[in-house]
Amino acid sequence: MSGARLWLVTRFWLASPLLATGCLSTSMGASFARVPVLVGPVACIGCEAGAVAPDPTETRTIEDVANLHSTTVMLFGTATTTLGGDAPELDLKATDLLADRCREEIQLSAIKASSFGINAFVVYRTDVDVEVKGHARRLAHGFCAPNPWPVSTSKEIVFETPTPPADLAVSPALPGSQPAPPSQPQPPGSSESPPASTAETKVASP
Amino acid sequence: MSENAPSLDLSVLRTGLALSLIAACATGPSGGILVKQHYRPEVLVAYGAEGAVPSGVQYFLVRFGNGLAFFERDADGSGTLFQNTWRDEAGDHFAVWANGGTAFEIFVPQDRAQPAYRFAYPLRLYTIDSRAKRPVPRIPIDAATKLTPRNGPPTAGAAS
Repeated sequence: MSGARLWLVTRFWLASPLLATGCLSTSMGASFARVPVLVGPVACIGCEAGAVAPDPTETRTIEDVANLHSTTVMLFGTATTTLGGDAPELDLKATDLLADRCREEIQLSAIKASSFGINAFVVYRTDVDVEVKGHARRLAHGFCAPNPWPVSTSKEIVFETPTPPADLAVSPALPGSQPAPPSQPQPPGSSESPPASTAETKVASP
Repeated sequence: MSENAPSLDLSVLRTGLALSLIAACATGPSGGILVKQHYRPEVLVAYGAEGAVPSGVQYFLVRFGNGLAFFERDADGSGTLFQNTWRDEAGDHFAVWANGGTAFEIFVPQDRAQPAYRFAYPLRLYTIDSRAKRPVPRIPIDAATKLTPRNGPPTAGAAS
């Protein structure tokens, strides 16, 4: 083998594990979640600093841990990759968590994400860990703004109709939560009267 | 090692890396074909686009054989022809996807004077219905692009 070819083969050998793992990807974002996700001590989406969070009628704690890992072994010019664990899929989880995105929201209080990779000659190992904590809550006055464009679901293309404020309609209980007593009427300007942007479809994602 | 080896190696290695990534990460589109600049379909409806629109891209509902197809034409005249189509009560659907990539669906209402909509499904957020041969979103996904029919009668070859 000539020197040039040896040089090339050596580098290709070293690069191959990177190539093999180049197609493995994960996402820690949730930009496609169509539910309100608040991060940190903010009162609501679009609120000014110092605003008081509306009192939820129901809450439940949520906690999710996901680990995705891959191991690539490069031997004799062949890369073999094994995948394990679960992808974070925060979009899917956040969407599945809420039964009514117009009257419920998720507030995350802790997000921990880490990744690790090591290349030990013929072995390339990557690990991604994502841990989130928070709670889902139901808002007494949540509603959805009109969405003029359709939404594609697993069954069909649908044009959504605006959801009226909760005090004009009865919505089902938050899944997994205990029934809460009916919310008391609040005087105008009280902390339970969130601004109109609380349940808008735009999402602040982790 | 020869003195010329590094420059030779780098160019070859770059090409090899690119080809390997392309081969490993994506294949040609499913549900459609890539067409070249000389493609001149019979245009049924031409659309103006708003929302998420790649620069210079135009959209056309075209005749394809005895049926319909949707043509996403790039600025240079080449583009993607959405051949995979199905019909439901609401209208016609067209979709293409690539292994390891985003899937796209176009929805054209039965009343073709009404706006059509384009949806983009990120890699993780759709599955392929192998029986129906179409992408199915795993969660509700908003339309990315609104396609409004342009005024004027359709003309053959207007996509040129």
